[in-house]
Amino acid sequence: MKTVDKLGTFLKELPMEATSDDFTRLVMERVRLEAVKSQVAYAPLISSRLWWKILAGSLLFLLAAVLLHEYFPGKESTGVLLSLQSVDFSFVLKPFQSLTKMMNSLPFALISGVMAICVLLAVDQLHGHLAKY
Amino acid sequence: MEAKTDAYYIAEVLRGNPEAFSPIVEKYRQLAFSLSMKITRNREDAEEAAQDAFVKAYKSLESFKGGAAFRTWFFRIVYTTAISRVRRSKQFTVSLEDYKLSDNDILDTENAIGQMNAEERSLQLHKAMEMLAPEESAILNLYYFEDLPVEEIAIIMDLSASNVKVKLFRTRKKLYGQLHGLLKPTEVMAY
Repeated sequence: MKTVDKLGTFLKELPMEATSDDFTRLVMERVRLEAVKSQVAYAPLISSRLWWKILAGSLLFLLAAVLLHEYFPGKESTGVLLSLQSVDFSFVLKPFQSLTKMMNSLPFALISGVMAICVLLAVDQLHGHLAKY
Repeated sequence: MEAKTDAYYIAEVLRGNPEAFSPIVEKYRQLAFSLSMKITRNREDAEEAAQDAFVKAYKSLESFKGGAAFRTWFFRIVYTTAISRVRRSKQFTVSLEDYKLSDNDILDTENAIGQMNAEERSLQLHKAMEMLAPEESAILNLYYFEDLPVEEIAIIMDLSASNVKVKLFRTRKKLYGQLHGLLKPTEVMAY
């Protein structure tokens, strides 16, 4: 058991201030409000875990597309210049050039459709988070 | 009527009955207010901080695992709520004086305080406690008023048990220093 020193004895003698009479009522009013809020709480269509999976999947897909396009380029390939005397670093930029080329070749309707879906899902997620507060 | 445990009311709340939270509020309201009051030193702020703590506890009741006592878990919420409120308002004066009191000084102060009447003693102690930092007031409150063990205070304040002991020792010394300063040397000697 804890031994109480003299200071403790003095402090224990201090009069305690009491809460207001309607303390419990005020807390419970807020609690009831929270209970109602949680019943109508907006749940996002896609959970944050699924969002991460979608992001990872998209990145993998993009990477695979870029690499496939890079290593199996078809007729228009110029190949990579590499010799012992000088190294051509243009290969670093090549995947990005391919990506832009690939993006440009996609139909505008498809790109805007994908972007619209992304925006809608982002709004859905954001709204879900805001609804919690 | 048979008194039910915290666990019973918590389970009821989690089953979707918010009214079951009322006995919990009733049981812990004074403890929550007392700790908030020691930290904020203002009645209105203390009431609001205690109410906020109850609402926060209600909202995060699902995350209460039941491994620790509800009291400890709830006290931690009260402590963090009141401390952040005080830090936001920055309305407190703290003494940064380093007290070099001898054991005799402490004993003299103790005797002087002990021989005062209750009203005077309460006044001096309140004055001395007002110069403590909110964390220091909280640690005294939890240790002396709520009678909590050091280990539980450590969980509430997110400190190690040895850190709590060091802080308690320093706070006690600081409080004695404040009291020593408040009681004129002649007064201390007179008793």
